Amino acid sequence: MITAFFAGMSFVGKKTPGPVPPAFHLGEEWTHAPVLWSAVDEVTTHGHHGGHHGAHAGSADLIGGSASGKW
Amino acid sequence: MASGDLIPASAVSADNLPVGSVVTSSGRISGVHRVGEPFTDDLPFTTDELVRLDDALTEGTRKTKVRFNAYIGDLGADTAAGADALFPTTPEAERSVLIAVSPNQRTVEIRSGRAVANRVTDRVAQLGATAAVSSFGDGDLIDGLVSAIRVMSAAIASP
Repeated sequence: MITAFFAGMSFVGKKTPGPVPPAFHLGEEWTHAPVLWSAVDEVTTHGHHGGHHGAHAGSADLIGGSASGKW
Repeated sequence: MASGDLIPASAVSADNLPVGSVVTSSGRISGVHRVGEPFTDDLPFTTDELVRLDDALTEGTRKTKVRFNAYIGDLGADTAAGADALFPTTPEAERSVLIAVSPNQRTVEIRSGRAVANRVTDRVAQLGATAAVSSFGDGDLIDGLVSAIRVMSAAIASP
């Protein structure tokens, strides 16, 4: 009986201790702050281990290939 | 492990943090969350979606030794110029691929670094854009990013 009570309460109660942002679906307006993901723990050939290379900021010479698309 | 933090922790002054927050020795910001307050920093994606994106970024970077970066946010009215301006600020830009999605403009922009331009050519970038647009048309934002990363990393690894 006690187990059933707590099991029932776990379904009725809130899942998180506060409201979380609603799931975003394409077609809705994006109002969230910009977000950038990078696998910063992965080491590439030259041994650069994450981090921003701010010294090159603003340099268009860094760009090799490019493409774009719309949907 | 991928990170979703766009702003370097060092850019935040400890004096301006709200009550209950602190800059840790590693530079990470640790703060309390009071019960009932909204989780404003959480992303509007499910855990499963974020794990799939994390796996794709990790596998793509590990397989090709080219750093994959994924961005979602407003690129401005001229999305190409916005992506060009954003690219140099991303991690290890010269040896990376940036997949930037501007949902409000319904546009995806892909840029690759100069040091890997012989491997991530315009053709490879266009493959990624096509894969992403295909999923975006179905309303799957994270699926589109994952598809683009997988298609591009396969093309880079086996040209």
